[in-house]
Amino acid sequence: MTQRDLQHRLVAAYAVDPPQGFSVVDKRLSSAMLGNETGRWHLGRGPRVMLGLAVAFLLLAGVTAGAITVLDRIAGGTPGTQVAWDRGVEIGQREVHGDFAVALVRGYADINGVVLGLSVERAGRSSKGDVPGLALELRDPAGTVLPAGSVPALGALDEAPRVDEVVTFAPTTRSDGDYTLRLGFTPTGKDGDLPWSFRFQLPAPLGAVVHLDQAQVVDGTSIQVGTLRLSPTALTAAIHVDPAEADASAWGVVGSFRHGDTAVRIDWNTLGSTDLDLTAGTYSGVDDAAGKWTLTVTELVGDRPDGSQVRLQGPWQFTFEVAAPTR
Amino acid sequence: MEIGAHADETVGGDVADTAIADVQTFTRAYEHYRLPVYRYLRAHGATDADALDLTAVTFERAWAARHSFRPRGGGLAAWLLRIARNASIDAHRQHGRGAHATPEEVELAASAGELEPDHVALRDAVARLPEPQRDAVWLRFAAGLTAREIGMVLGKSEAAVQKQIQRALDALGEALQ
Repeated sequence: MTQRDLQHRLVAAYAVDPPQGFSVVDKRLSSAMLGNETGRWHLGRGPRVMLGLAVAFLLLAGVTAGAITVLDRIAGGTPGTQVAWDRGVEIGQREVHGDFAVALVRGYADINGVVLGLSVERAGRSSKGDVPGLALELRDPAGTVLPAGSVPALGALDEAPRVDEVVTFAPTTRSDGDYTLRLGFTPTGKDGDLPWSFRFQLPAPLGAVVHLDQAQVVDGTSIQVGTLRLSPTALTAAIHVDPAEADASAWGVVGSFRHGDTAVRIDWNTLGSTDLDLTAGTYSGVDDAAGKWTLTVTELVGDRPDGSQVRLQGPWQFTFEVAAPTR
Repeated sequence: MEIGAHADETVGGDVADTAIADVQTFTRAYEHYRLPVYRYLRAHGATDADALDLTAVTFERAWAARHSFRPRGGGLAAWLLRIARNASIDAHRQHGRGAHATPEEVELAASAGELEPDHVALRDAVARLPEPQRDAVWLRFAAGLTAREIGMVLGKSEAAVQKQIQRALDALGEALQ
């Protein structure tokens, strides 16, 4: 399971709504607000009507929310995935093998990854039984297998007739042609038995890849920025650090991406293949990456062996330009 | 890597950057943040009924203290979640328990709901994390706060929060293998 998929699962695990809605809280708060306001400022009709309308809107919103599918909810719980869901294309293919039907609902690709929405349901009147998991294999149009995040666990099919999952894959290596998604249930999937097969196309991946390979040194600490991936779902930068304080590890950066007049904070770091490599990014992506960019690292933070923290101050600043795509 | 609901971003951040002293703006803030607050309280180990009660307490306290909120630099989500966290701690103390839910209490609350088995296992694993990591995970993935906002709730730097979450994810990844 990749950390990105683990985070998707965490979002889904805590996406709990109150079964009876918020009407109890609405009433208590309305009472508190109106009582408080009336006592202090002799509330006029306007604010009372406004609050009444707001509560009515809340109730209406609750009804609407009930109609949203689980896939919508999962996608909506994750900024990058929400963009992928909104910009993705309907695929709408469904296959039945044995007791289960798998639907490939929706797909999206940009230069930070491929995102697919799947639905698995029990077909017919099959008896409930243990469903350990699903094996997945996605090949891009070049025939390259794109590593998946986690393989969805389908244990919920013991309790519910259908399970919806949003699965992320590594970026595609080629976009002109058919993708092939094959699936099978474990343990049969372990033997390469992947009876469900979907062929589909996705629009060319959006975004820009920049191989910057620039280094900056501040007070003896070097930060080298390698490849940047700038897309609608995320902005990411591969970073190698050569810190002045050599005995610290697990480095992370604090800083921002600036594109034109818009600055976006780096809000996550992942450790790379070595203690000195990391990827920094944000899920606030861009539709059009063309133009001038500045990546600023204001602080480099690491852990000393004794558990204390070292904070090396920058800024380290990297400026680059992305050309407008030729049409 | 951080993923979360990002409650502020869904409305372009306008709620987070607005004063909440009048009925209209406070109602908008309530409408926007009641679900993240409720989810955080559920993650914290509260049952549905207790979480609704504490959500009401949170916004009642926020309404009473709304004139003290300063919108400069955002921070409304952090302000509300700090109130929610304190309300939860108060509730635990009133019931003669510690300030925070024990892992067993969190697991019990999770299993009492209608969660999918995979989600229960994941929530159980989170419940067994060290408390600072656990709280950061709940604020991030249940309430959808950014690392900066979590730092404002817990009184830590943004970088320290990022590290706590990273450590938590590493531990969860190992626990779930």
